[in-house]
Amino acid sequence: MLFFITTRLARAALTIAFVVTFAFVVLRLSGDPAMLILSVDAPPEAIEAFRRSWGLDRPIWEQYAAYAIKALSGDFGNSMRDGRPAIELVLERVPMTLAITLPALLIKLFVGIPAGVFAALHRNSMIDRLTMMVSVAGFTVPSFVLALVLVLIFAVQLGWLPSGGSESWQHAILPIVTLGAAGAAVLARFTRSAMLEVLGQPYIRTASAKGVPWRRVIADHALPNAAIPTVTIIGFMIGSLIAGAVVVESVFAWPGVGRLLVAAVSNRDLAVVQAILLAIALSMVAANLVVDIAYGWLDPRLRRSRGHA
Amino acid sequence: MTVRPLLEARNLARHFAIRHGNWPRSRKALLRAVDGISLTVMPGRTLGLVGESGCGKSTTGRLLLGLMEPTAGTVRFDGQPLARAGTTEWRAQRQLMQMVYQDPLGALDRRLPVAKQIGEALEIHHPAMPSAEHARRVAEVMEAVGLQAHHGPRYPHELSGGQRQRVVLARALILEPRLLVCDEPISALDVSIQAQVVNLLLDLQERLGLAYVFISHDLRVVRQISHEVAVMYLGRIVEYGEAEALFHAPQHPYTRALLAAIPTVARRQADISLLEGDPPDPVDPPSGCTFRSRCSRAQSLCAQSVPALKPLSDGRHVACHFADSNTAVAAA
Amino acid sequence: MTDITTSAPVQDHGSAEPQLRSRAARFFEAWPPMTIAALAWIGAMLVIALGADLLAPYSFTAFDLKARLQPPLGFGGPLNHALGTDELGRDVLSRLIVSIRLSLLIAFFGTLIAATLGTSLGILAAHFRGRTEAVILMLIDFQASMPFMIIALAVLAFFGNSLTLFVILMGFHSWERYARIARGLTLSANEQGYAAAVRQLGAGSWRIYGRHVLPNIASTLIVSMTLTFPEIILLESGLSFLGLGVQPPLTSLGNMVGYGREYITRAPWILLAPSVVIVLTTLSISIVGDWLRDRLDPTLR
Repeated sequence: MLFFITTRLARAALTIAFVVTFAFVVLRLSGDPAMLILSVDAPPEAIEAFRRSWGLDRPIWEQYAAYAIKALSGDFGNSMRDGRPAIELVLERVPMTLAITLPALLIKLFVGIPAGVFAALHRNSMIDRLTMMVSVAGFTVPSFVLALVLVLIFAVQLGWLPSGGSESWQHAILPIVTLGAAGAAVLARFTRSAMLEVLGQPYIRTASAKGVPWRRVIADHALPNAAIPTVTIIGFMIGSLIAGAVVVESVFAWPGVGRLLVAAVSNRDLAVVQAILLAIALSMVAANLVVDIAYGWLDPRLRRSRGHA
Repeated sequence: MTVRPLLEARNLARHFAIRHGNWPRSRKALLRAVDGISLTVMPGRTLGLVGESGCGKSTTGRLLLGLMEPTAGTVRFDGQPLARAGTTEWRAQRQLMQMVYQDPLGALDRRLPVAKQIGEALEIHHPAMPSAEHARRVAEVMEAVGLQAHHGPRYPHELSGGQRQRVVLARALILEPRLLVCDEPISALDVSIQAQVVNLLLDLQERLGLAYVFISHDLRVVRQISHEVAVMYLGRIVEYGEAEALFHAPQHPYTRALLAAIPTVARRQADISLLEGDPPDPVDPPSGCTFRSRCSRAQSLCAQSVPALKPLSDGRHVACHFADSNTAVAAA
Repeated sequence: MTDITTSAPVQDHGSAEPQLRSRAARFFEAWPPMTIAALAWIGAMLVIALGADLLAPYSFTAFDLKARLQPPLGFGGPLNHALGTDELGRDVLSRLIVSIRLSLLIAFFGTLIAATLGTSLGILAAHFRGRTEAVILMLIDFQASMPFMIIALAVLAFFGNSLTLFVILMGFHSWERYARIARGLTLSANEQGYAAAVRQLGAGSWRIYGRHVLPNIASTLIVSMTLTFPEIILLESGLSFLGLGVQPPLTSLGNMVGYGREYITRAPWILLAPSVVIVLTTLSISIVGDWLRDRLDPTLR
């Protein structure tokens, strides 16, 4: 188990190193960092100071090391727009994003999983067909289309809810529903197929043939086994808590990390983009780590075989 | 006049570095799949290579064809050392030495008609050949292996197992090689078809003067087809000699046990001195003679020193400390 | 295919001969109605994409300020603008047709790049093994551990935007899927079987991979392409919607939705028309993909 966790940690560190390297390489490939991070019309003294503080006069690997150290301590420089440290800007947006992504996650889990389980247990029933149809819609309808259709119905036609902004809790409802519906559809489909696969296994038939009540078979045997593949996708959803709301935040003018990212990209505010990139990478990696450990807990066999790889 | 050997292997070895045992107690280990063997194949003759599965006979086959780099030792083909796998010289050598596989369906591309696959070697080695001659040679070789013209446009899954193995043979033969290494060529076939393929191999040898290395665990077939036989145990040759003499009076206890395991009409169940237990772990073989853990005649000497492959008076080689006394036992 | 003609009358009068009916049943088993509808939609989109210049009634940039925000035909709009007009009086139908062409083009080239790049890397990994393989596997891991939209946004931030860059960027979406598939299948072909047999004949790598391995893994790769294509349509339209993808004066489906958003109360048709096209197209390709997978590659789930 120790070996298992060590390899997972090493992989997590590697991914972070990759993101930092990626940012460094892309930054250097895209032109003079001084020109990019400051602006073209910055005074020469400022550019000179910047070059010195970022060590642009030193050999490339030294620059890389310096960059990596700065990046990992969260220092990406100041935002081009309002001159505040980029990392601060990002961090103050995180709670806003979580305010919609966390409730959405709950919708995904508490609607998606039961729907998938129910559909699998009542295969080919009307409810199964309905679940499948909705879940197909879940990944063919882009989130911005769903969001706009909801706005059209609930804000424009019915006038029940605001169409954008963040002044009250009502403003959060449509973003949460949009995020939750799409994710729940995906999760339902995934849970259903995981469940169907488990239900086809011989040990399920054996257990019910031995006279174990069907409810017990489902609760004790089917659900825990179907949970194993489902954990992966849930892990990705947890990892996307910060990253997953880019489009929806923009539609609803919700001031979270995603909207900040879109603004930073269109303004080419590179300090902010890098800070967000690292924040997202950290959240993805942390979620992956949790998933891996959950895996080991759910399925002791994996601790060994996966540890080998 | 002495005939030059077609294929000559000297002290051939192939070791694999592996992880051994169950985690967390696994450790790095060395698997000696082939551990210093020497062989000679004369033109137009057949060398049978026998042994239980996992004894390294398939690895030996791949080493002999240069499909795998040996850890140590040399292989010479017609007096020339084998080129390194993948080089241009190595490719040229392919024309003279070919492989026949155990699983013909797996060895054929299921998306190409078989005639196309038979002719592919010509495309590779004689790209300038006129298409008429190409077609003629494909037709010739198909006829030689007993395939009919209407089989040509078919796909592998549309043919029977025996026909597929004929396709594999035809593909190997179209370049007119001098040596075929046949790795369990009939063990995947139905018993009724096995005899046909063996007869075809014998017939082709007679007509084309081919030499074979025939790898098999089926001793009856090996006896039928081989001029010489090498018996392998855990990566080493334990007995090597002329086929008839070896089958008639086996000298090594392992050979005797293998032969005894062949059911025959004359021999009754009770007489069989079967091999006891499974072969030892090849990563962790017994000291001294590796066969001693299963040998009924093992003595303390066997645990101490590895028996060398020594020649006997009849020209055969045996790796057993008690080879001579074994003769006496066999005669008794 | 000839079954189409024989099965058509069967539906008309219910009491057909049993033999004919079973033929019809068999036909619809092989070609489910949903699949036929999906194929028809994809066909229509292809015709529109290829014939965009001929089909568009107006130039997609031509504006008519006198006829701004006209509703579509049937909703009180004029006859000459079937899907209405936008805030500058541009014909929505013409813009839609041109958008379909650009969105499909981006998705097509993106898919092609992803498949080519991924397959090549997968085969390289399987061919060289060792360090090359380790590096490629690491790249696969990295790609799979970050949401691609974020990577795409970062690249757009660093490099700015141009159509060429954007198409190439879309090509990096899901390459790792092809790399995984190609590596796995090539490894198994190399270990035992036809690839080893052909190599042993003396064939060079180009022949082994080009003539044997690729045709053998092609069906699996094509099925994967039916997953990638709609994903790229969604990604492209998402980024264009945010104003970070296709830049005006060019127009794509997501782009139209994005700019139509501001007129959602007064002229919802501007964004609804492209939204419907996005949904139906991705849905159709997914349906055809499922159907192809069942026909070509039962091993893939």
